[in-house]
Amino acid sequence: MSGSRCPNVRSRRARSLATTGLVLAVVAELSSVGLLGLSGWFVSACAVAGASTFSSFSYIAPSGEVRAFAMARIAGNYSKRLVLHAAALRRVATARSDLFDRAAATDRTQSEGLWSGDLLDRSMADADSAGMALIESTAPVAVTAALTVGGALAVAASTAIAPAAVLAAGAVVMAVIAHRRPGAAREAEQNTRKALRAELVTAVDAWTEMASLGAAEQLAARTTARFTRLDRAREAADRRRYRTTLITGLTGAATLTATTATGAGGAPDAAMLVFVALMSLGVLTQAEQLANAAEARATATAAHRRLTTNGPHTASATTVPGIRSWSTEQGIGFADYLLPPMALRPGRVLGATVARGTMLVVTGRSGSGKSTLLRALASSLRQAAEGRDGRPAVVAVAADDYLFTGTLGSNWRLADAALNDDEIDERLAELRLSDSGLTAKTSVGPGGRQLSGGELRRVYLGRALARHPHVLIVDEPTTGLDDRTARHVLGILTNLPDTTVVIALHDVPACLKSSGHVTRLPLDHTSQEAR
Amino acid sequence: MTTHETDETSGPGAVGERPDHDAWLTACAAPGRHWFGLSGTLRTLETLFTITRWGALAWTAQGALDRATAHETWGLAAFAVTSASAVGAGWAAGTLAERGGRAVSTGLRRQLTGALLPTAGRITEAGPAEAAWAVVDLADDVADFHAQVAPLRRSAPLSMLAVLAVTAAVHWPAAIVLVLTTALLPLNMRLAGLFAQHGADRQLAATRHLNAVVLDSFRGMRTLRELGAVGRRGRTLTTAAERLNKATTSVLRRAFLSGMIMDVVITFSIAVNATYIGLSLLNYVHVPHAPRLTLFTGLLVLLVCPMYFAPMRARASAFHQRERALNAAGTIRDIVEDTPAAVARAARPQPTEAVGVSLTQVRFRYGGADHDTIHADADFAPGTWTAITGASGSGKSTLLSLIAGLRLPSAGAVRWQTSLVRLAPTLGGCAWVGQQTVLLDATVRDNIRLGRPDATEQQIRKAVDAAGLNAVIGRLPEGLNTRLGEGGWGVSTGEARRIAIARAFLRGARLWLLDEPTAHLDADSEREVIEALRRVTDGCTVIVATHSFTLAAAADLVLAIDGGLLHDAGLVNAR
Repeated sequence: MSGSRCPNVRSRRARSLATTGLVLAVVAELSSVGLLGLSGWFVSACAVAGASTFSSFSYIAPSGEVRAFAMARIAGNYSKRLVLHAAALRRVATARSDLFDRAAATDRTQSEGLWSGDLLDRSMADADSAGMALIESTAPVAVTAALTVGGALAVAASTAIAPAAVLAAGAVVMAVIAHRRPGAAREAEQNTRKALRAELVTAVDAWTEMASLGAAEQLAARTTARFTRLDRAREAADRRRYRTTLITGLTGAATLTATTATGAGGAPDAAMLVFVALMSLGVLTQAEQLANAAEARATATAAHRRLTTNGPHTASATTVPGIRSWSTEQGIGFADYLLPPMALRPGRVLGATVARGTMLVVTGRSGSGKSTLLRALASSLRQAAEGRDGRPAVVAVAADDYLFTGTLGSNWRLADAALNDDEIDERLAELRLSDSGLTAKTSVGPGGRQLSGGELRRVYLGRALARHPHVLIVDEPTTGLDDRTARHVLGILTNLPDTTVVIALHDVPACLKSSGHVTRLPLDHTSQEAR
Repeated sequence: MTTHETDETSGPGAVGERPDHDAWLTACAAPGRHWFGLSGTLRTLETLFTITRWGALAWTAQGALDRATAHETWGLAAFAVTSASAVGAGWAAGTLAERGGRAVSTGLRRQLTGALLPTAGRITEAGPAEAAWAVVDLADDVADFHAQVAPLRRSAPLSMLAVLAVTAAVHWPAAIVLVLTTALLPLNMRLAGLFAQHGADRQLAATRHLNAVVLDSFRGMRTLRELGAVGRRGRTLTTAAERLNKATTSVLRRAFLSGMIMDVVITFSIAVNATYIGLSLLNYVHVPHAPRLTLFTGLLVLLVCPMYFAPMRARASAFHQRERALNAAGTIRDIVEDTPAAVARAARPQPTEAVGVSLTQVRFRYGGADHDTIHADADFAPGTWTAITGASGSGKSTLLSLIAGLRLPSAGAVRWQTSLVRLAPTLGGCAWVGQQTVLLDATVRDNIRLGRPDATEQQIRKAVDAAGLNAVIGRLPEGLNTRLGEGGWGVSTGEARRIAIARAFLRGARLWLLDEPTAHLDADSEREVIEALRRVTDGCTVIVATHSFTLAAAADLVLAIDGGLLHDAGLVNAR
């Protein structure tokens, strides 16, 4: 937010970089074609001059021009590549971070449905094609346009209008052919590629279970089917592309012949004929690139569309039940929550208030609706209250939170960037995690796989505590812990002076029964015994 | 380059690892070699057509100079025909190379799939992001390299020879200039090769890192939001992306620089020839014994000159692709190497009888580690529940995977035994429920019957019942036909775990290995999962690695792993 100006400046810089690159590309190719035409003309002119007895042919000036063109071509090519790639890479990086920001900003319920494998493909491959379109599509189109105009003008100036018109017409026809060709084939290929990547991301994790079931072959067969499909889609797309290349190539050859033939009629001498032929050759060779450019454009458009639309929608977008809640200096409260009726319990309307720094314990049997209530409360409080004094209003700890690949320290610092390793070690000790040898430098493995369930639970909790929220909501904080550690963890939660804690438990343990700071909200019974 | 081809059996980390990778990279081209050869032949043909085409153009120009209209017309006709032929040959060469490339990438993908999702034990420890990257992107890197370079191997020398021969036939002093410049070029090629070596590995590492960061960020998005760390993680992502950009830019800058140097040399050589031809045509210079230059010969020499250098230029630019492909091949090889050959299905224990397990002096050491992760000697009686406890990372999961046959022990023997037979573990003989249930992108029904595709509706219903999934399936919009997505989308973690239980139950194995089956679950789901496990494992042997006291307390026998050593933690309660 503070850098709202910064992206503008950056995008303007990126745009000027891209423009510079395009200009350099045009200069480089113009000199390249100029070099070709001029040196052909030069040699022919020498021959013409050598054949005639008296000639006033000056050798010096054209050879100087040839040298100049050669220099411009070499320097232009080098700097064009450098600048265009820098601009394109910058675009790729921007596309990547935009995708992340967009995924982060999507509606909560929706993002559950975003598939990580799918997003991985978008982030890597699609961002790449969208950014590289500058080099593969924009640059060739711009260069071809400039060359066609420049070449036609040069031909017209040196001979007549007719060959110039033929040349321009040929380039336009090639552009039309290239433009009409790219179709659904390339997009089908990208979709199969995405499917393969998504499948692999899942299958590699699923292998252990599947292999034990004897379903490893099936799992491999699924992947094989997907890459076979990719291979076939690629074959179709390639065949199409090469057909376009062939057609544009043949059109180019025909145009070249026609231009030379018409040029031969109007050309004053052999040198001009060679000049016209080579000039149009340069233009048409460049125009042959249009087939690939159109293909890259189609790819980039599809990639761009995928980058800017949201992921597949979840089929089970759980609707959060209605609840009214408030948060003040004195604490929090909620009301009008409709607890649905169940077999052993009639439905009723719930409400409670919790003073600041105290704890609300929601208890109930399996499926009594504890987790739903906690989720509803969390999302409602989040909407009701903004964070104050640099502290977030609510932090909720879920049973299936996520640990990021890296060290425990790096995970902790996601919550509070200012913590150093020693402070994190202290907190680990507080949660009795150091007993099992965990330190801030411990690596957690992909998705936290190196840690046990009970350890994970405490790490999630500790990380959330580091946020120092006004309200902390924890679903079943003691799962996977032995009684002693569970008591210890509950002790930490009851002793948070300025954080209001809401937890769900199966039963209120003895250690909390005596505490004066604890309000109970059982969901199993008819009466509301919030004391 | 091809001399090492048969050297495939030498171990990794041996002396001269790079040439070894070279050989491996070369061997990757095998599936497409046929196509590459054909493509190379056609490329040579394209060169021949192009030479003829220039000849026709020069002939036309000569005709124009001599005011010989017939020559001019014939020349133009020949020019048109040869142009079309060159385009056609180029098209065919490109198509064939592409086809060869596809054969190469498909071959690599097949190998990778075999290593990542093998039917015997899995060796590789590659994570999901790396696996997807290797299969999708790296396989293409290698294939693209071969598609570009392999045809050149045949066409480059032939094309250069053809151009040189034509030049020499037409005007030998020009050919000498070409030959002299060729002597300069190896220096350049060497430079290009040296340039290319640096940075490519850094680029690879940056790409790998970015892939992992991206996948992690999307998977943990909800947690990031909860922690208010979206911005910080975004910056991590940006940093990783910038690191990749920086590495890529440095690689590209080298490539462009060496390309430019090449360009300078080639341009210089062409300029020398052009100047010589111009001056000879003006009759300013004359090399003794050389044939007299005409417009036809002069122009032809000048036009074919760049063609002489084209293959060299392609080779030089391929150095960078080669480095990229070499790195890609290294990563792929790390995954693929040592994959045990697919085994034919061995006889499985009869599902009617519980299976016991005996571990005799079993040791396991990870590749590259300096100590054993596991040292175990134990017997698990048929029909009992055994809990294995131990600190995190103590090797519980590794031990279970050894028992399941997912990994092979470094020493000692794992045996499954019934009253009749005693055999080595076979994949598919036991049921495994792990701490990370992954549901495939398929319907609930297909997910459940993965281990037994021919299961009847009744059997599926029974499994659903046993796993306590009736209520869950009733809630889904299309019941058993509801599609589930990556990571069990649409069902909770606990429900996904129970789907895995139903899946294992349907399979009918009598040995159950449970790796923290209640991890990541809230207490309610944990109870439901344990109830389901109790129901389905009735009369089976169960070995469970757990931290859960609820689970451990229910076991017949509790073993503990400490410092890699498996020992008895005391009989808890006899059944």
